[in-house]
Amino acid sequence: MNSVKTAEDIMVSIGDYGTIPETATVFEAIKALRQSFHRDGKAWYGHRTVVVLDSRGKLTGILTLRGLLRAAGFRELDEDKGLKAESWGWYYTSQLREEMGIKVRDIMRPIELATVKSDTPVTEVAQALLRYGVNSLPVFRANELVGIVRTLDVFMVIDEYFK
Amino acid sequence: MSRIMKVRDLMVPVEEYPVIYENVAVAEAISELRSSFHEKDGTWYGFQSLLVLDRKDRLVGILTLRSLLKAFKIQALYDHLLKGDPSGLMFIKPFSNSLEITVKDIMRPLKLVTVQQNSSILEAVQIICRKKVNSLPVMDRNRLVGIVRTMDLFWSVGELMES
Repeated sequence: MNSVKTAEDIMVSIGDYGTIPETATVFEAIKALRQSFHRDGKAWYGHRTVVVLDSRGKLTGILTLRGLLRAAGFRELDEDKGLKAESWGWYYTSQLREEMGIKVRDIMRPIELATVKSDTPVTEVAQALLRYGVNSLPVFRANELVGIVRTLDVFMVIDEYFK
Repeated sequence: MSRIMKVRDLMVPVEEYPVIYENVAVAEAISELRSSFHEKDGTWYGFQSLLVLDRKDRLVGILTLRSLLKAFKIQALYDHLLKGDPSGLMFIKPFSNSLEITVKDIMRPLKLVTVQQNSSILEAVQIICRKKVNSLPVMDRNRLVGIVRTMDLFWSVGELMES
């Protein structure tokens, strides 16, 4: 039998993540995230999440790719029946610029919403990721945020569980 | 100025995507995904999903990292069903052995979430947000022609904003 690995064994330490202040705009967040990617042919690599800090430097949220896309005014567009698909590019960019006032704080996923403990076994981490419908979960040791565990991290050790 | 970008301009063509058969065991699927998606010099790159074929080489689904999490869930269910039940022993071989979970059990069926190749990027973004997926099969009517990913869409949206 394999030894039981826990969230803490596979997580990415919190210090390894890029950060962004709560008060940054959506536009700034998109730019920041874009800078952490690289393109290699058709394959992408780089960090896909940034962590959000309040004015005291405390970690308060997670900002993901999908969260950013959703936040950028698409919900409103969705309900605009008059919008023709062909003009979306123009409409979207002007819409986004109008919504520059939206801050990261308004669209981030708050840290407390879905978490796991540092000693949670990998099998339960996997099920928590499914249950919450997310690809990353903050890891707490007692009351301290120590890292983020991702679907990717589970994938890295998954062959120890299915042989 | 409107920039008319279609999903087919951003997708990865189906020929470039790695494939796997639906009757393959989870362990084998893991190693296939490992070889397409791997770590080099500390960064991850490659494809995070595989296309799933049936016996007649028809495309029937997509296997993502999230699909693999489902294997943990099924495994936990089997373990729970068999725990403390002597009659369960008769079935222990087929059920408790994780090799028996196949790609078909955990894949996302192709018809569940798709987008047409002539759709606008806006439509693809909406589907990705609404259905909470990161890899979206692109169809030419009933034929699969490619995959478009959150990352590809995000990049394109960022370019629009910076131009």
